[in-house]
Amino acid sequence: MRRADLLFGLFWTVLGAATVFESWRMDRLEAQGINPWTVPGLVPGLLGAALTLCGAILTARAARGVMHSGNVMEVAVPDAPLPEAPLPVAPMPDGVPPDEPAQAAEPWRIALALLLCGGFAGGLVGSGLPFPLAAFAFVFLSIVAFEWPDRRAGGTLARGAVGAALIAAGASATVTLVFQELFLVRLP
Amino acid sequence: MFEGLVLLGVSLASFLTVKALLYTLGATLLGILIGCMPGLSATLAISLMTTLTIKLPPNDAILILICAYVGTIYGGSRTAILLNIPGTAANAAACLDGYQLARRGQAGRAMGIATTGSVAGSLFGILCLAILTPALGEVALTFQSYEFFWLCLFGVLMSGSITGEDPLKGWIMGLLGLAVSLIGQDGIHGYERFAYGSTDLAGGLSLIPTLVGAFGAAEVLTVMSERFRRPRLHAVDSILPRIADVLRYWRTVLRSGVIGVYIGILPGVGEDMAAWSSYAAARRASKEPEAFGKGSVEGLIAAETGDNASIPGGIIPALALAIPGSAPAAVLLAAMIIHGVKPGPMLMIESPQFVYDVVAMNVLATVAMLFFGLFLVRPLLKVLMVPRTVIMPIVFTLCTVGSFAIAQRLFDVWTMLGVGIVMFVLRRFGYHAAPFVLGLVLGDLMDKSLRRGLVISDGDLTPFLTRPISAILAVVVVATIAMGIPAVNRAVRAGVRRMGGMARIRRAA
Repeated sequence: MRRADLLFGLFWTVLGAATVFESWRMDRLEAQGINPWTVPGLVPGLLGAALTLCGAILTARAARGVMHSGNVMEVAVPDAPLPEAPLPVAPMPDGVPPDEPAQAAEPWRIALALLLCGGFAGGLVGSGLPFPLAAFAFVFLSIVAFEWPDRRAGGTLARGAVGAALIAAGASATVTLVFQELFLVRLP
Repeated sequence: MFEGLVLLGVSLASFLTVKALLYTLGATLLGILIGCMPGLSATLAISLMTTLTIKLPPNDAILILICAYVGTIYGGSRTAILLNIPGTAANAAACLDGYQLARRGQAGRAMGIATTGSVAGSLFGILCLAILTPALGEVALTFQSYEFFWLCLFGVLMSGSITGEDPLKGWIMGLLGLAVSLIGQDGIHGYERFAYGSTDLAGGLSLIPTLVGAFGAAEVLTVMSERFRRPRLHAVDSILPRIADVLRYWRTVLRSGVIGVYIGILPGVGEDMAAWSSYAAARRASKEPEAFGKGSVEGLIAAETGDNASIPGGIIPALALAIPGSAPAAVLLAAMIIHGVKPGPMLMIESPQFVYDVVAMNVLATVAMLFFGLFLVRPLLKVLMVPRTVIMPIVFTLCTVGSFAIAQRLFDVWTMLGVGIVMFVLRRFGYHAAPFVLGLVLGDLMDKSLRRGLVISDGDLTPFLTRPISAILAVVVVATIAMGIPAVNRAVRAGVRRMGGMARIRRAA
């Protein structure tokens, strides 16, 4: 996280500096004789400066943490929303099975989610493909792809695909009808 | 006083139509269903519903949004109790005791308690909404640009300080939101900022697609990137709340209601903070603090009363000052503006009836919440079994089409997608969307207030610091920043502890 903070800190610093630079370049509208305190670049410039400062602090803090990585220096932050530490979970009564651990994100799922959502909203929609078909393809592919490991393990790939196709067709038709006929939206 | 009661009566009567009641029931039920699904938040529910209700008359649309808001926060307690997964962030505190009750075979009792707490909190909040909004509106009439500038800054900084674990990251998100809100024509001279010749950017990033991206697309991507397992539900006993449970903890209900409303009013501090604060206060005051976290009825009732009381609490500053109390209230405020309502100090003068309309909408939503909470528990549980692999693609389709529906331009869809992906990435590194949203909503007001203030004072910064309310707000802003600095925070806490210790010693002596 410290390395990520370092990179993000640098990014915010550069972004803030770029905002200040762009704000400075903005027209002062002197030809219009406006009050100089109302120049359009005033507030963006101040915000850019504040962002630069925050980014620099984050960078410095993270850099100190990275340098002390052998003896990690904890940077104290004020207490999180919970004013007192969360209470320990009570021991389980006899016969109650333990809880499943919280699910962590998996890299292939992240990539697939970005690919499917980006492909649908950034590519298919508005590409000339009728919206119902685009929506059907997105919902169908998403369900099939994300259920793939479990379906393959259970030997129910075909059944899963048929179910996904039915759900996708229903969802696509409903969304299209509701927006097109009820809300009179001309879909892309 | 009586004028207010008359206006409230008129508002309530105006909603007693079949259409309004159907909207109430439908939107509250939809809200509960959305709240039941982990990963889908109240902000997402209101953002999506805003796109769906864009063509409805203002009062119908706002009624639907408020019912969805109330329903979502309430619905999240179901998942917290049965699965130990908060349906929304506001229900995280309910997990601690609600889930322990469910494991003991008292899931129904826990849900009954959550219903009672939610209804009590909501009613207390509504009472405060009806009383405090006109009063705050009257005070706000004395506000000038100076005060509004500080209020906007305070809201964004406060939200940044409290959301997440690192105030610095929260402030960065707030600044980012403020900066993004300035893209497009400025509100004073019409100058195009950061547009670079693009006609789409010249119009600015539309608020609703940006919000749908920040909360909808980002949440969908987050949930899709995690593996889903079919949950194991605990058996549900009787869901009818026991009167003894309610009467025994009336002090807790009242205290949590006050805390919920207070936190709701603070700009940018949402329902989750209200729930945790109410829970912590209840534990400190309880005769059985050791039972908290092990299935304490008092803990559950405190958490659910607090978060529901903060809903009307968050609407109070949104109506009176046009400064939202929470992220969902920010979307609600944006929806009001889209529908032609002008929240702010002039609201009580220009359309006082609307304030009472909002009170009546909250009353209807609370009644619908009670109805579904008591009579539709078991059918509602079925939604928990629907795989998220099925729900999420459909929600993303709605995010896409909803973003497009407002102005029917593809740029809004790309905005939603771009903001969603950026938020998804940032969230993974500890950056939260709530301060960004606050910044986005308040950016224009802050920009205009600072520049107008400087024009009025001819560049003199003194009025920003010497006018009484300005001075108080300035001190609070500086204190908020100072408390976000670890060294200052530690020193202040140590000082407070020392003073507390000395006071105890004096009392003992």
